[in-house]
Parts: sequence; C-alpha cells; structure tokens
Amino acid sequence: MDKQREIYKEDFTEYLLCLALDVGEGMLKNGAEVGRVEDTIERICRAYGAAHVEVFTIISVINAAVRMPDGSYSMQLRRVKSIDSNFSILEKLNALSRKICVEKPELSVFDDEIHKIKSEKAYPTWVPFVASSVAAGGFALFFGGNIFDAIVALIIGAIIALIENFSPKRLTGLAKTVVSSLVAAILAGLSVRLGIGANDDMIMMGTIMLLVPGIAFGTAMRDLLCGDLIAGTLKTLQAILSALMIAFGYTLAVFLLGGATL
Amino acid sequence: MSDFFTTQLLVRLITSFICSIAFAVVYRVAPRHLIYGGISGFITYFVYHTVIFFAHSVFAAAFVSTMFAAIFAEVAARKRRAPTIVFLVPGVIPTVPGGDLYRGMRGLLAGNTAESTFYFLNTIKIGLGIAGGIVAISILFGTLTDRIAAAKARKAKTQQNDN
Repeated sequence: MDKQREIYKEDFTEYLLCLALDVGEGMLKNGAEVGRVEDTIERICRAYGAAHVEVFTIISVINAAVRMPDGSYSMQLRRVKSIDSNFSILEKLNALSRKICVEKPELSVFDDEIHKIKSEKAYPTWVPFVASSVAAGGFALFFGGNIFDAIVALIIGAIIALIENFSPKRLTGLAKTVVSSLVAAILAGLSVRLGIGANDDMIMMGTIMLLVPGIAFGTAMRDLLCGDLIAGTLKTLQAILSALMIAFGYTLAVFLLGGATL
Repeated sequence: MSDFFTTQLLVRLITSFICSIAFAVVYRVAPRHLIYGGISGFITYFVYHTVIFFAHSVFAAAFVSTMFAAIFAEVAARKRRAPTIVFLVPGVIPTVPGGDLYRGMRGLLAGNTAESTFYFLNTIKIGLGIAGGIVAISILFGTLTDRIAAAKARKAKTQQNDN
C-alpha cells in the first residue's frame, strides 16, 4: 500500500484522487450514506481545480474518475471490505473535507491529516463492550423484564459485543448474525432453566435489539427512494436477510434446547 | 392501557434514554454529542407512546416519532456541525421493532400462526414507518437547505451588483 502511495505522490492528479478516495472510503466504511460519499469526493476534487469528476459508489466499491484542466486524467477503484460504524471518524472526516475545500492545503498535509484521523480512537476498547451490555440490559427492562432478566441480558450483550469484535475473520456478515443470535438464545434459555433469569422472552428481546437492522432498513429505504437504486436495493436486501438470520439462529437454539420455545 | 401515565411508561422513558446513549457509544458517537442522542431517544419514545395511545396505530406511531427524531437530528446536526446520522441513529433506537420481531419468531415456532402473523406484520409496519419518517424529513430538509443556499447566493449576487 505504501509503495503504491509513493508512486501516486509523483503525479498530482493521481495523488489527489487517491486522497479523495481515502476520505470517501473512510466515510463509507463508517456508516455514511452513498450520496454523501459521492458528494464529498466530488467536492474535494473540484476544490483542487478538477474540470470533470465522476464518482459512482455502491455499498462496497467506490469508482472515481477525475480530469484536470491540463488534460491529465486519473481513474481509480476502491474496494471497501469491512463496515464497522464508527461515527466519530465519520464526523471528523466530514469536518476535514469541509476544511480542505476552503483552505486547499498541500496534498501531503492533507494526507497526514487523514492518517491522523483514521488512527484516532474516540473510546478505549472496553467502553463499547460496556455500552453494548448496558443497551441489552436496558432493553430487557424496557420490554418489561425484571432486574434479574436485565442482568442476564447485560452479560449476553457483552458476549455479543465480543462476537462482534473478536470473532475469527472468516465469520463475516450474516454468519456472524446467526452465531450471535444462536448464542444469545441458548444463553437466555439456559439462564431461565437454571433459575437465574425469570423471562426468557424479555432477555431475548433485549439482546435482539443489538442485532435488529431497524436503522439499516430506514437508511436503505432513504437511499432507495432518493435515487441510489443499486446501493438502496443491496442495503435493503442486507437488512431483510439479517432479520431472517436472527430468526434462523433463534430457531436453531430452540431445537438445540429441545423444545417448542426456549 | 387505560391510563396514559403508567409506571411502564416511566420505566420505558428512562431506559430509552439510557439505551439511546448506550447505542450511541456502540456506534462510537463522539462523547460531546452523546447527551443529544439520549434526549432524542427519550422524546422519540414519548411521541411514539402518545401516538399509539391516541391513534392505536403502530405504523403512525413509528412514522411520527421517527419524523420527530429526524427533525431533531437535522437541527442538531446543523447546530453542532456533525453529520445527521450521528444524532439520528440513537434517536430512532427506541422505536426499532426488536420486540415484535422476536414475538413473531416465537409464535412461528410455537405453531401459533395468528400470533406470529400479527407480530411479523407489526414489524413490517414499524419498519416502513421508520423508513418513511427518515425519507420524508431527509427530502424536506434537503429541499429547504437547497432553497436557503440558493437564496443566499442570489443575495450575494445582488449585493455584488450594487457595489
């Protein structure tokens, strides 16, 4: 990657597009909508005097071409492999792109700023774990569980966060959802059988909130209805599939525990 | 459901405040924005409850409360100079139909078709309500912002001509 960078640095147009794509990639990866990513890349290129910019983004690929007034041309493709919503990076990249468009610094300065943002951490690693378990426990109470249900959900929430962050690399996307749902359901069922939790329903509802793609579905619909048909369709499909996978994991757990319900 | 103010409502309001903040942390929203996510989640659930209480429709409740969360997010995003999604996600969380999805699955496995159909339909209705709310406000605010930008540009142009 870095060697490739060095080659880019010799050509202004290539380097500019590479940096614009770095920003776009970071935003797409961390939960920005497709329209915003395309808009940002185009703005950055135009700020540095591009005569013509074309950007096409779907959920996992950014494809961009830029032509400068002197005729130099660059076209680059960027594959975005993992999505891990990190809104603080998204926010900083957004602010950076605004700043860049006004100040237009040297490209090397721009490069350093991007790297600085991408390496920053908003929270220590353990904080999202705690948050995830608090969310699960809170929702167990929300749906009418008692304090013991909330404690069980709290523990399961932390385990789901563990699966989310430290699972083997091969366990990607929807498979991860199945495993999370399966583990959550088995633990909820066992806790009730052991007499720790009182209502497996409330525990499950609390933990399922961590997995349900409610907002993903909402933003997918926005993309779909606002003209980004490909990204919108793919995201909607993803949301529906992950809801089905939650159901699949739950069903599996019920059969493993050998009953009609948990 | 006969009373508007119940202990259940109180518990749900408090937990939706806490859970919205917790979800904001899961999505790694910058610490200085967290409290706005919590407030948005709190009021969004209150709106949801109010609409269900008076209109008895989950779709309407999800639609109206998401519209509220989206307006809150758009305004907060402009005031605090951050992308809208930072405030939208924690705000919408209390209306996400996790409970209904679960009850639908449980009904299906228990062979209770009536129950599962009812809850799955609820899940779809709420999902569409959330989507509709987000889309409506996003289009409305997008148009408004465009209009304001155009007006500003016109004003700047006339001033230039005056000079």
